[in-house]
Amino acid sequence: MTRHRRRVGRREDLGQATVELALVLPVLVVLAMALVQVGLVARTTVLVQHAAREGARVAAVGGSIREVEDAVIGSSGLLLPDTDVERIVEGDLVTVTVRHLARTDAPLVGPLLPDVVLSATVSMRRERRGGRRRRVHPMVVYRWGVQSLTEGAGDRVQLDVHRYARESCVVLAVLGELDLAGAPRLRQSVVSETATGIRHLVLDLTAVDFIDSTGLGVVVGALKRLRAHGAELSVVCPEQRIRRVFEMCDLDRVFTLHGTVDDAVSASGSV
Amino acid sequence: MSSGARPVGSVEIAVPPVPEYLQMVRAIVGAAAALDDRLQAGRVADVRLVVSEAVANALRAQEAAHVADPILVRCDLRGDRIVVEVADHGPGFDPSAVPDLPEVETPERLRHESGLGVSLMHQLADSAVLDSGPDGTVVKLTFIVGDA
Repeated sequence: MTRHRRRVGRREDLGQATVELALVLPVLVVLAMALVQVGLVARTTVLVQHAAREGARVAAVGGSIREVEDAVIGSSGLLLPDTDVERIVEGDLVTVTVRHLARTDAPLVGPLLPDVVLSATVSMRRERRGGRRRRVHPMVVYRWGVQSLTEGAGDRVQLDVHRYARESCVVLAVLGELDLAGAPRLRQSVVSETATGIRHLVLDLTAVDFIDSTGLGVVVGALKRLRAHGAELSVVCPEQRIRRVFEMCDLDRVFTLHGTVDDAVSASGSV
Repeated sequence: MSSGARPVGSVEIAVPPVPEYLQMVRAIVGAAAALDDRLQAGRVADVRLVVSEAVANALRAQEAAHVADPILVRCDLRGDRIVVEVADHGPGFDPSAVPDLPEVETPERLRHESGLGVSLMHQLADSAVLDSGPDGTVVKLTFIVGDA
């Protein structure tokens, strides 16, 4: 009697395992498909980076926008309707941005996830024909529309300058390490801004990871150049480690270091 | 090991005289200095800044004289101190001829876009010795790693 009961008990256990498996299996399958989807997006991310680099390479040797597009599409196999290529020539730098709409279409999970916009920007120095040939490391900046997947990919960033207008000011947002290697890039941006006759330039150093005396020299040079044109300069520098270098050189007494771009913009004219 | 590690040894790098290598030099020397975990993060940043100033000066000196030889950077961990030496093959200069900076608030101050590097080295390193001759300049920067 007892034996029989025990056997029945085991059978019930077996049934329970089957029911549990039946409950858990769909979850496992969905998780596995989600992993596949993440893998696909990661692959596309690499393709977009690669495509931007190929495009920039063609642009650096003077390729037309058509040739840049061909290089981008040809090197990556990304679909043209979902891909947007932009080429900006600024001074001796050329910047190629590739934006790609990665459609999430893995079975089961695809419809649940929003499509992702991946973008990669690569700047390279334009190669001049003839003249002094110097090997220059390409400056590579990656940005992702959704989130920054790779902090480490910024390792090769030397310096990047983004320009935008805010109210009556022009803001130059500086990104990267402002040293002897990065200084010419910023100096050139300041020179071309001054030439357009602006009244107020804001240098945003929030995203500067490192500055040395050469970098400070560019900021001082910008102040002199702007004053000579009757314009003013504001510096945004919230990071203590960068502020400190200004302080070491007593330049915090020459510049007001603002905490945010908005502060700097609203300080316009009141100085 | 986790507290009070005193690694002893040295790292030496030969740097091509191209500004793009500055970032790498800072990374290597900074990482070597950070091996000594008694050195605070702020102090490691000082080492990075000072070595960058020294190598930038070396780059400028060699560029002006069109010298393509590598710049030698050596970072010595000596237990109680970290010694960084930067040797270039530039034409050399007279350290005493580096002009003193004018008072900050005078307009002349803005003429000085350069020359701040040597001043930073003296401020941030516990000792900065510049030895310059016709065969080049050696900058020796010492950072004391005191427990105090």
